[in-house]
Amino acid sequence: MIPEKYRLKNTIKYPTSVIIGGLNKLGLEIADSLIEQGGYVIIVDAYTPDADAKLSVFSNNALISFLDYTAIPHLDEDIRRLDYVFYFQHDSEDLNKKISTSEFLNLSNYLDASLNLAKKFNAKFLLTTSIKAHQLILSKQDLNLEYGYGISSSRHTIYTEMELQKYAESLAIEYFEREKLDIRIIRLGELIGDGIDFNNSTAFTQILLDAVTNNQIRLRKDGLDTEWYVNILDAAYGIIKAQFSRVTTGEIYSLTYETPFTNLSVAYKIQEYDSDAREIIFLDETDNLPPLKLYKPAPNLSSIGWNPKVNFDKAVKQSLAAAKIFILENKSLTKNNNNLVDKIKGFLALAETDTTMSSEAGAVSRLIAERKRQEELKKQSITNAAQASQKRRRPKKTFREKLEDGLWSFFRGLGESFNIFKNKSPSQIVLMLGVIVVLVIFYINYFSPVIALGRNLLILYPEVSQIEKSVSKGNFSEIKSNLDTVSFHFEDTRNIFTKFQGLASLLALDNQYNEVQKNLEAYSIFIDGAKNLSKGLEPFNTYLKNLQNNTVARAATDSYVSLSSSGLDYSDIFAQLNNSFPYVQDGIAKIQKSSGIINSLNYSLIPDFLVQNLNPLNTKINSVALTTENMDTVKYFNSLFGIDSPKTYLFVILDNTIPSPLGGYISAYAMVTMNKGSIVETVVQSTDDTNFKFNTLSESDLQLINLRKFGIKTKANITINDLASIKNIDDFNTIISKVFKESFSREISGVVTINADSLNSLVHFVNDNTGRTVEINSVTFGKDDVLRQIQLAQSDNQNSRSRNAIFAQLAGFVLNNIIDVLKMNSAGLVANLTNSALNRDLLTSTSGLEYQDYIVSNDFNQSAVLNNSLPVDLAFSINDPKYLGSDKMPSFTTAIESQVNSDLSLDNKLSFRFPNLASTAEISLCLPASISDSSIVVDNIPIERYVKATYNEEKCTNIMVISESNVSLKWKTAPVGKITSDSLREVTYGILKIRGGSNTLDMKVTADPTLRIEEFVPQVGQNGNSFAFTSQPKNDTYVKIVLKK
Amino acid sequence: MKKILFATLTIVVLVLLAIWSPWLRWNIDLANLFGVRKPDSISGLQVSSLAGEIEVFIDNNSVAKVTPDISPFILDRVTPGDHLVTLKRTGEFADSYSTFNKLITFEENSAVVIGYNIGPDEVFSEGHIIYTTKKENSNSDSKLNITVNTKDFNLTFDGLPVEKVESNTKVMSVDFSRQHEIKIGKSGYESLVFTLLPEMQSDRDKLKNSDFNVDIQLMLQPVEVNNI
Repeated sequence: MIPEKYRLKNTIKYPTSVIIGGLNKLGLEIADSLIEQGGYVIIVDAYTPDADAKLSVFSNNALISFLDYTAIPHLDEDIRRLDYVFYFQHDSEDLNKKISTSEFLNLSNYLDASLNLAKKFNAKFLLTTSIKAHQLILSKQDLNLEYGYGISSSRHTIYTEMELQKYAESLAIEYFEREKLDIRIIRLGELIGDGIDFNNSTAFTQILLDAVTNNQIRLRKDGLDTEWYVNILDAAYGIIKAQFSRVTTGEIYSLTYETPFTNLSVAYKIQEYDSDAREIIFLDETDNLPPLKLYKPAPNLSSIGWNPKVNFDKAVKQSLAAAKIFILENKSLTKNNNNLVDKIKGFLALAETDTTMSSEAGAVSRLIAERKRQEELKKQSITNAAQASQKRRRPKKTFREKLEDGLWSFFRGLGESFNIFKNKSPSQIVLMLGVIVVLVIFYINYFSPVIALGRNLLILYPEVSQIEKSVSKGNFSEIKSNLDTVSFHFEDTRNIFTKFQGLASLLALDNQYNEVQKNLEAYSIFIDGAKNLSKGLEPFNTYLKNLQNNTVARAATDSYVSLSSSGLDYSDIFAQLNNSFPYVQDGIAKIQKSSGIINSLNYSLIPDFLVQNLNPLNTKINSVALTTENMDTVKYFNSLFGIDSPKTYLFVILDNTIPSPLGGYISAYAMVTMNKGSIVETVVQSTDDTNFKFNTLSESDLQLINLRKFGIKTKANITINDLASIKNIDDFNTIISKVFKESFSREISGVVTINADSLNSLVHFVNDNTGRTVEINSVTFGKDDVLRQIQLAQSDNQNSRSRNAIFAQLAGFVLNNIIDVLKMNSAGLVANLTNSALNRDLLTSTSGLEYQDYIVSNDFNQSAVLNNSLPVDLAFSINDPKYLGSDKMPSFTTAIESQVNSDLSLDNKLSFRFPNLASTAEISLCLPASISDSSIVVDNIPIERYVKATYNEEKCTNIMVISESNVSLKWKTAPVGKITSDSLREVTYGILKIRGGSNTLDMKVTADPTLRIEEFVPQVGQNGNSFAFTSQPKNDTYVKIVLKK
Repeated sequence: MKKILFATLTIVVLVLLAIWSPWLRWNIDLANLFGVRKPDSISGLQVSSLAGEIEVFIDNNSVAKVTPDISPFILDRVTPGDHLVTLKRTGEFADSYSTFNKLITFEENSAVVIGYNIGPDEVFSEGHIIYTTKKENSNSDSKLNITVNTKDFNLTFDGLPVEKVESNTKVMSVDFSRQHEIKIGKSGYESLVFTLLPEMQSDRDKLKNSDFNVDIQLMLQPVEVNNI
């Protein structure tokens, strides 16, 4: 009965090996090595009484099991894992021993069953045979002797042990070729060394036994028969190496010392190592066999790196020692040395024919009988196994067992298909599958979306940048493809982002998620808006594309620009533009809305890495929003471009180095008539070359002209530059339109004043976009500062006329190129003009057109501050004809100090500092007409040098200065202030920018101690009950004070 | 070494695959797979003429002619999105009238309601456009945004005066429990009355995720000519 500890262990955890026929020194050595490496070993052999003793070398905890041969046919059901099979077929008592056909069949079926077992588990298979058997088979083939040599009287084929080994090799190779089983064949040399089996009757064992029993060393024939040997331990090591090596698959190797050894050389070695060994004698034997030919074994295993660690000499010594121990253990052998051999011979012969134990045999015969019994047990066991597999009845299994078997089969199959699942239990496989599924879900739902988000942002940024560039140039037809790309990737981004909503909720990051979602919503709105705006402005782009520049530059003073043709009719295009205006409106509204949402974002809620990626996009969108803010002015284009009726515009060029209330000296003008979208008439002249008529001016007009003058002008002595004393652009428009109507018979639809700063900017803009310049008096204009260039151009001709002519030519240059610039960079041109308008370098009035609404709403006519309750309107002018202007803008410094009294009246003091440019100059301070004359006091100017004039809502104090460089005025404002609530009063006043130069404004407001300043604009530092600030205003300044009593 | 190389290659492949991520664009509709058709997302348009015959265009395609007698015209299959709605007077003196032209965003499962009287000029035209937009914050109450073409208008809600609105916009919250009658008026302009929200509560409930926008065009009253 096989002890419990050797029962099969049902485990899949450890690499499992089966050693069939392994209950011997070689098998046990291999098993020990495998167990040491963490494997589980199942030894299959016949269970004999000394099996326990042999297996006792292993500890109780060792992963080892022992099975009988009958276990092999159903071992596949009993084990869960099999990695290696070692099938020992090399061991044979006598290779020439005959075996019956049925025995041959049983033994070969057993090998077949073992191969099938290996195939089922995809295990590696190693078959050991003996070199000797192969050697003998080859020699018998030469003699053409088949299936046993010698004559037999049997009528059936006789098989021998060596043929069994040959068949085993053939079957193994067949499995390799047909079933692709990972198999290798190792032909072992004779096993010698420590553990040598003296039951095998070989020449080597006989020589050893002769030597240790003090007999003559007998050699058969001439002792020159060679044998192949290998040390047992080296063989074990070589077998393991061969099994684990990949290169051995399908190959046959010899596991032996490199060279064979003759029996004679063995005898000599023994004589050398054992001093008691006797002489060598040769026994004559005739076997009717031809001499053995040179035998070339299969490639040595040393070809894969195996090397014997125990050399032959040492192995012989070990064998000799083993032989002595063997003899000592069997004392009866010492009695009669001479008879011993005969006895052994006799008993061996006896053993061949009679399996029963002879009572007279003694210890040797007991040993021999034991060996025979083992052989018989093995054969019986194999026969039983063969029988069992033939009539194998599967035991009836319960449903649970069937399910378990099914599961194991399925998962084993899975393991064969996927290496990662190999040799894993079903629960392990299920766990691994679960982990894989979770990882895949994570990858698809979280990892890849994050990467895709990054990809989209990387794509979106340059596209949006391109859109921004195109929009800044006003080129909306170019942005369509960019918008399509942006739209596609953005929608992708949105869809990806919605997948994170669940995760955000789970991690309580709803606020953060919503904030990012809000940002993305803004992008969505922006894209919609940009698409609609682009669609809406497409007709305008078509117009620009088709627009022809029909202007021609001239050198003649009657007009520096003329026309080559009357241009084309673009009415249809503008009709389309009109129809698509809703798209423009919607587009702008959406872009503004998106910008509004972006500006309302709380970035502290958005993760930093997202902020870094979203911020640049958001900035671009805000930039686009700023550029497109006023593009709904296309609704005025029908009117402005003369589609409904011809429109004539007057562009008045002001030299603001010669200050005037309007903004500068009227040097030149350009009159342009538009009809059906084309320029149909143009006149660009210096004011010196024009004969202006003033007959249609009324008294009221003259009153307006004289409002800011120290002197009085009449129709008789009025000049065009007297009109420059009108500060209000709408009033100026009214007056100059009358003059031009009379002078040119033209109805002026709109007036634009352009000072030298703005003209400079336009000249540079033309050059930046077209690369063009203009040469006037051998000086090139286009790149450098216009005023400095004018000085250079006037170097030989310093007079007003030449200066005005230069301004006129510059105006002509701009007009001649404006169409080309408009086509190239319409948005840039608009931005340039808008910037000039905001700086008050360009003023516009189109009183009779709808466009005036836009001008008023954007305060391009600088009238908003005049609607304020307390405007402070200061102007400076030089009327000295000797002053010819300069290359620098004048600078003005205004200091205003206001005291807010308890009754909310204001005591104001103004100090105005100005440059001393000419012998005389005029300063006008215009205040609301409600301020009494008496309250306006001029401090430092004699009374004869200032006058007061009134027109409509304005009251102006006009001062002539001669040598002064500053004037000081005071005035008192009656109680003012809007009541905002029970105890709060709001006082606002506006200080208009002095046109034409750089302004510095110093302001101080102090409130009466009974009042408290609650709030004020601009936001500056407060000092008790007063505040003060200094600024360089580019525009008008609004001051608002909220007071509490 | 081989393992490190394999691991690196795997990571590179996974990252490249993630950059491609075709599964993010797959639109697997399980319902469709099982033969269940989801209702198409649609929007609607309702146009009423307050005076004269109006031809209705959507994206420059004529869809109907509407008169006060055969109002409202209902078009119940408009694809959600932006559409250009144009209303033009028909008849002998059609050219003498202005044109109503507006790009309106049609939201899913809601209708745009327009009632208009097109006059010879925009200032002499009157009407209302009611359309919905998605709520910015789904948790907040629905808002009613009223935009009028003039400032300082009077607002009456369900017969009760609300206030005089100084600007040209007014924002209020919406009560979905019933329909509402809204009146907008201003001295010198013709008053305009319209109804907000559908009649059926079930239809009103469908709009709870939306904000309402009403654009009002008040007609300037012509100057009275006194015959001497």
